[in-house]
This record gives sequence, structure tokens and C-alpha cells, in this order.
Amino acid sequence: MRAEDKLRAEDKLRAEDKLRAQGELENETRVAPKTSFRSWTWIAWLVAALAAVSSTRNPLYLILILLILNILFAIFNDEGNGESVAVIAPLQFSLWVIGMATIFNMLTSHFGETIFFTIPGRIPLISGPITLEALIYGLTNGLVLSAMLTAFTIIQLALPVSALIHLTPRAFYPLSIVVSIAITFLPSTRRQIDQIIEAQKIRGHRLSGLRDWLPLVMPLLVGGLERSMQLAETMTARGFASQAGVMDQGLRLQVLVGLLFVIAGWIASLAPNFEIIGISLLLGGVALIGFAFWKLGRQMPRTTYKKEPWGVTDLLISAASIGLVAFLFFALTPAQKASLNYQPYPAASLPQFDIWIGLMLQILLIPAALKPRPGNKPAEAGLLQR
Amino acid sequence: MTNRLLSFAIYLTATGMGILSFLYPFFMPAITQQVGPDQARASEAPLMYTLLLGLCLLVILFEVQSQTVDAKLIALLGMLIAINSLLRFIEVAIPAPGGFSPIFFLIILVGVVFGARMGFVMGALTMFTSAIVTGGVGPWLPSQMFTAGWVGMSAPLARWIVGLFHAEKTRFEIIVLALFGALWGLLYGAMMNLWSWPYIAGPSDQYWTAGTGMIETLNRYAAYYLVTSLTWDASRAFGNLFLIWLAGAPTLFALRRFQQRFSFSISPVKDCAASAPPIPSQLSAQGEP
Repeated sequence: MRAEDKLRAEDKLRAEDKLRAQGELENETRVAPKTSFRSWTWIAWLVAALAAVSSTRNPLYLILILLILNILFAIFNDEGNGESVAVIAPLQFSLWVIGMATIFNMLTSHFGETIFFTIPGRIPLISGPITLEALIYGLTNGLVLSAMLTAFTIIQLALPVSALIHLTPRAFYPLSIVVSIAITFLPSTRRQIDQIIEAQKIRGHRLSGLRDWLPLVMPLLVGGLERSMQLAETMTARGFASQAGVMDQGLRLQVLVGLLFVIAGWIASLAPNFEIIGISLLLGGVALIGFAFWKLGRQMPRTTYKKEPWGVTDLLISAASIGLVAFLFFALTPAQKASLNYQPYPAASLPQFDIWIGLMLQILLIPAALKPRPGNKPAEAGLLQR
Repeated sequence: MTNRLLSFAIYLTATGMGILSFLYPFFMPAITQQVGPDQARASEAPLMYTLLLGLCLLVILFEVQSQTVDAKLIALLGMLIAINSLLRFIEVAIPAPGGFSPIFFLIILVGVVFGARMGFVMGALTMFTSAIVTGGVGPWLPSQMFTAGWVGMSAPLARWIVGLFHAEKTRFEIIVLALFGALWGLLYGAMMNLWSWPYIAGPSDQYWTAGTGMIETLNRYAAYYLVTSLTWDASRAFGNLFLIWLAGAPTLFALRRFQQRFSFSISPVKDCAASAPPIPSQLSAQGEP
């Protein structure tokens, strides 16, 4: 290879490195691969997953849920080429959380009848008996937190950022624009930091301590403010009109009344014998607020480039998720309820396992079963593009 | 006047309900003590807490956007949130000691300069945007958004204290803001613990248990906070104090300069003919030179 070609190749590699570095943030904040399900289908699934996690303290059910969620994660984390797309690996994180919660609880909670050994001395909090009950309780806490985190990780994996923003109710359209602007300008803000660092380096500036960050932060801030000025002018020039005056006082009054209903209902629901009145008031308040948001949303027209139609798979997943929530909250027998509310204290016993609850929890796996295979594009594939 | 009263009532009610939601773990045990231990109701506490807090957050954002919707403010907020989210992204990528986070610095200063409403939106949406970007969406998000929103919303209080001493744009202002930042560094941690505290409860002197009294629960939380969180939150408090002390004055200067540049409004003239300046021919017709 001639020297000239070599230099050109090196330049090309350097340019590619720079481009890769600039694109780092885009990759880190990358849009997750699209699934063919509607955003609301995933929300219904998330509600069912969270309901399942928060309805039980039985470690057997929690382990089962965590297992199901990790299977789902593994399926949706695969781009088809064997590469992982998730920023964090929930299994490792779960193991860490469960381990920490268990050790922490064992060391600091000295209750329970099944004693492993006793830490002697007078070390505050630590000294005392280490019990099986504390171990089980800590393990349960860790399982609950890990399952919640894994459920949200799956949602972030399955839904692109644009779909998450699009889930914002129409009533909050100005705020969703703020978030859209922020997310759109993140990569360019990151590039601006690089440029400022390079410019300061040319001037002989060195980053050795926190104090040295000031010459970087101030140009970043002022540059951002300048760009916001230009952006505002552009928005105005392109016809973005102020929405002041859209919100009428009647709607705001309705929200206020709804909020007062919620507070009154909540307080009443805590008092004995007033539960039904309280819950009715609370739901009434939520309905009033929701209706006000809906009404405001109707006043803010939004056009959608491509609409997401409800497919058969969406209907199946949503119906199954609602079915699971209904089962957990309304259809359980007293024995099944007891098996959900496991308490290890004062003496640990073997947690009960109801086969029907175990089978119903398998509903959470439905998105994996209905996920279209690569190359087998369903009619609604790609509809999350907007 | 009615508009202001309505706005004040909505903010007051939603904030009050938010405070009650945060204090839920404290009075729930007292209630269960009165009505008898009911594990099923007690297990609803964290869920109820998240739902109510989410509702309060939506109501405050609804009220905030009823006035803050002009293009200049939307663009300004978008940019400031982008900068702050990037700071949080850096914080996630390069973990700082303890609970140190550079984001509160800008939330507080925006609240001081642009007012409570902008401060709330800045805090809440910074948390929302950075959670989307860094993969931090979870049941803790409403609490994070609400608490960070309060940080920005309460920032004008510091301005009010400075105003009492007529010490605007002096070193005293920076001292007050730095102390305010340090206080919120501790408070933020104490409030954020509350969403997970009932989950990690156990029968010990520091854990949440259904059926204990309010004072007993407060004592337990104080013990829990001292043991598990104080050191962590202290680094956040020192971080806020240090950042405001170091960069507070130039940042305030920059924000105030831009506030002046942003504080103009364009309104259509109703009667163009009446309000337009007279043309020279009209002036001469009226006998003026």
C-alpha cells in the first residue's frame, strides 16, 4: 500500500472513530427495537405484572414471576442476531439486589425463632441472632424490588422512546413537546460538550478538579440558552401558537373538585365502616379529573402519521392481562388469598403454593408466545413509526 | 383575581395531598392500630402512595401548563432539561461518591430566577426525561418527579429570604442558596426513601410495621434514616452546597440575562389605524411641523 493510501485509510479510521464517539449517546439512548404490539397493549401487560408482584409476599410466587419476566426479557432482548440491546442486565442486577436485601435484613433484623448463629458483642444493629426468618423476609423484599425493575426494563426494551412520549395524554401536549425537545437536543448537547472541551484544551485548560469544570459548564449553559432563543423563534415562525386561553376556568374548577373528592374519599376509606363511601368518593374524584383531562385533550388536536390498529394479538394480550388483574383482586378464594400473604415471622413455615395462581401467572408470558418471528412480518409490524 | 385564587387553590390542594401521600407510611400504622391489624390493607400502602402521588403530579402539571405554554418558555425549558438530563447521564455513567448529583443545582437556580412554576416543571421533567434516557423508569419515578419538582417550586422561598435582607446579587444570596441546596440534598433522600421503606420493613427498631403508632413509626424511620441514608444524602447535600457556591453566581447572572431577553410578548394590535404612528402627510395636515 502506498504511503498516501495508508494516510488516507488512517484518516478514514480516525473519522469513523470520531463519528462513533459522537454517536455513542445516540447508541446509549438508542431506540429499542420495535415490537409489533400496540403501546397500550404493553401498558396493560405492565399493569398486570405490577399487580401480580404487589399482590403477594410469597417467595414461591415471586420466584415464579421473576423467572417469567427474565424469560420475556431474554426473548425481547434478542435483536435476532444474538446481540443484546438492553442497557442493563436485570438478572445480574436482580441477583445483586436480592443478595444485598437478604444480607442486610439478616444482619440488622434479629427476630425469628430459627436461629442459625449469634453475632457476639455489642456492635450496634449487627450483634444478635441471625435467623432463617430474617433471611426469608430479606429475600422476599429483594424479589419484589427485582421483579418490579425487570418489568420496567422489559417495557423500555419493547417500546421505543417515541412511543413512550406518544403515550402522554393529549391534555399534556405542551409538556410532551418540552420532553420531545429535550430528548431531541440531548445528542447535540453532548456534541457541544465535546466541542467546548476541545476549545478549552486548545486554550491550555486542564480538567484536574471539580473547580475546572466551571469553564465547561458555563459555555454549555449559555450555548443552550442561545439555542433555545433560536428554537423559539423558529417555532413561532413555523406557526407554533401560544395555547394561552385554551384552558377554561370550568375545567380547572372540575379538577379542583375532583381532587377534593379524592382526598375526602381517601381519608374516609381509611376509617372503619366508611370504606365503601370512601372508595366511591375516591373513584368519583379520579373520574372527574380524568374527564377534565379528556376534555382538555379534545381541545388540542393532534394528527398521527400512522395509526396503530388493534390487532388480534393486542386484544388477546390486553384481555389476558385484565383477566389476570381481575383474578388476583376479585376471584380468589380465602385459601388462595392466604397463600399470597405469606409471613415468615415469628417461625418460618413452608409457603403454600396454589396451582391455579401459578397457572394464571403464566399469562404474563403471552407476549413471548405471540411475538412474531423474524422474517414473518405481521400486517401491523412497523406501525410504531410516527 | 378568580383565576389566581383558583390557581392557588389547585396548587395548595395538590401539594397538600402530595404531602399526605408522602406521610402515608406514618399514619397508616396508626390507623391499623385503631382498626386492628389488617395485612391486606397494609400491603396496599405503597401502591396507594404511588397512585395518589402520580395523580397529584398530573394535577400540578395540568395547572402549570395552563399558563406556561408559550413558544419561548417551551424552548427554554426543553434546552435546560436537555442540559440537566445530560448531567444526570454523566452522573450515571461516572458514579459520584454517595448520593451526589449535579442536577439539583440547575433546578434550584431555574426556580429562583424563573419562579415556582418553571422550577416545578424543570425538576419534574428533568427526572422524567433522564429516566427515559438512562433506563430509570420505575415505580419510584412519580416520587422522584414530585420531589424534584418541589425542589424547584420551593426555590423562590430562598429568593424571598434574600429579599428580606435586600441582599440580591450579593454573596449573601449565594450563601442562602447553597444552604438551601444542602437542605434539599438531605430532604430529597429522606422523602425518596419513603416509597421503598414499607417494602424493606421487618420487625426491628427501624422498620415499618402495620399496627404501630405514628410516633413509634416516626422513631423507627428516624433510626432507619440515620443508619442507612444520612451518609449517602450528606454527600448530595455537600455536592449541592459546593456546586452552588462555585458556579451559582455566574449561572444566576446568565439566567437573569436571558430572562430579560425572554420577557417580551407579542400581542396583536386591535385597531391598527388608531394605534399606528401618524404618517408625515397626516402630521402636516394637522398643522404640525
